[in-house]
Amino acid sequence: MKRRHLLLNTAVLVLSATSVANAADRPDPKPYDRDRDGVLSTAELTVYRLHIANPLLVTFDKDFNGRIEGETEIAELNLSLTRFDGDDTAQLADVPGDGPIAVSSIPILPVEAEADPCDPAAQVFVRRDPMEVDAYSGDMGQEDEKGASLAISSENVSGFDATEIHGVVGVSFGRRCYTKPSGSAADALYLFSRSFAASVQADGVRTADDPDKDKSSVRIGLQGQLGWAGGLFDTQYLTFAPYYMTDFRGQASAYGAQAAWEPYLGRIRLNYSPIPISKTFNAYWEFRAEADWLHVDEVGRTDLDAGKDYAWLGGRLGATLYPWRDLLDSRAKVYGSWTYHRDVNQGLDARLYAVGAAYDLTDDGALSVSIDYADGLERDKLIEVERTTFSLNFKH
Amino acid sequence: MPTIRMGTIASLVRSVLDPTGTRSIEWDEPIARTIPGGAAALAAYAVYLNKAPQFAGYGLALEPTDMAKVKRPRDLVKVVGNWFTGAGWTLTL
Repeated sequence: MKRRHLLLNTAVLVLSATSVANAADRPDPKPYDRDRDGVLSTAELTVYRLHIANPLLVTFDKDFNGRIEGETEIAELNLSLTRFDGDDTAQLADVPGDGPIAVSSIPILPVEAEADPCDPAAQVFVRRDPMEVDAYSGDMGQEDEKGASLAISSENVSGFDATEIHGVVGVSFGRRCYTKPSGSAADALYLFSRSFAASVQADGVRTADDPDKDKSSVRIGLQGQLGWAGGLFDTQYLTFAPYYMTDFRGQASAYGAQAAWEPYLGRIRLNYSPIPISKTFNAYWEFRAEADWLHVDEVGRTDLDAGKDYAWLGGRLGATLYPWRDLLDSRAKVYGSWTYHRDVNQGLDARLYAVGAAYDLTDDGALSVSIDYADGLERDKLIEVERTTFSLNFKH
Repeated sequence: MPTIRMGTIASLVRSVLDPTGTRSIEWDEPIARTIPGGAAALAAYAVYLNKAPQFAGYGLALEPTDMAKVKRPRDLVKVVGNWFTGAGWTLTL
């Protein structure tokens, strides 16, 4: 290999690298002697020349190959070149907390750690669906836009005054969080949360004058939920819920257990939307697999059969669209779902179609109005429904 | 000790929320208006951020539970900043 003496080459470089104002601006040549033989080879000299010609390489070409490549080098160059505009500066100036705002290039105070995000303290929740995974979060807030709510409305059912309730009130407790095991792969699947809840779910119609017109169910039960992160999905939840079931008048008697699996994957907008589709629209689609076993002793105000065991397998497909989010401030949404379950014991099929629209009345989404249309067979009561409901919804 | 600006983190978060630069990101609006789907959606978003090319070079490793207190897009920057601090980076403005 052709070699030249280091001093000779650096002298040549001083003459040839006209972009360098003086010799003091040159990088130290020693790191460029990669084989540490005391001289720069032709290849080493080429890299040295490139670095003199382009000072960015001195900083970011950590492996001395004359190029900025690889995740680390590109990331460091990216952060070096990234700027944020004045508007962002103004908005983010107090991001680190309430402490003094540091001036540029001076380290700011470390961001204060948040309070334990996995507070095991009990929390009361009001939702529409007991299998709603958000109901078991440690800090649910009220910005849940997933349509889980308690709806109480009055409507005429075949000429009778009636009250219709679709909701669940419960208390979550015993939540525990887990961190990713150290040393595991970046996409490794791991359990990150466990939680429990106790709830009462009411679903159906109670007429004022004619009990025979009632069609309702009340489920009292416990729920346990496990959440995993990583693997094929961003996160996924498995919920198991044993329950006792009666009706609004306490005449039915049944017991069973429900299980659900709900995966989240932002890349395909599965169960959530990580990026607005456009300035105007946002949307995601929904999927949940469900299994529900039910043994009936007394049918009460349902159309179930006494003494039978129902073993439903199925799931729910749906979509939620947020139209004109720029004009409506993302308060309005339109949603639809198709729920299908098959009773593997009796061979029954239960299909339920539902569409609706809702508008949040408050900034936090705790209060909303909605119009819902449902058509199909409700499996928990085995009742055919075709109804339109205007509701004032509350969630907590 | 490596150094990173909060503005850099904000720009990277914004580029994940808005890859095309055509959508408005209001840092102080409720997070559900940008990432709808409830608390479970936010938990999943932690993994989504970890996988985002913008953060791949940094080895971002948020936990789903890190998102529990996120109420606004601004809080996302704070959460990511917290991770950088915990990973040994010095934050500057």
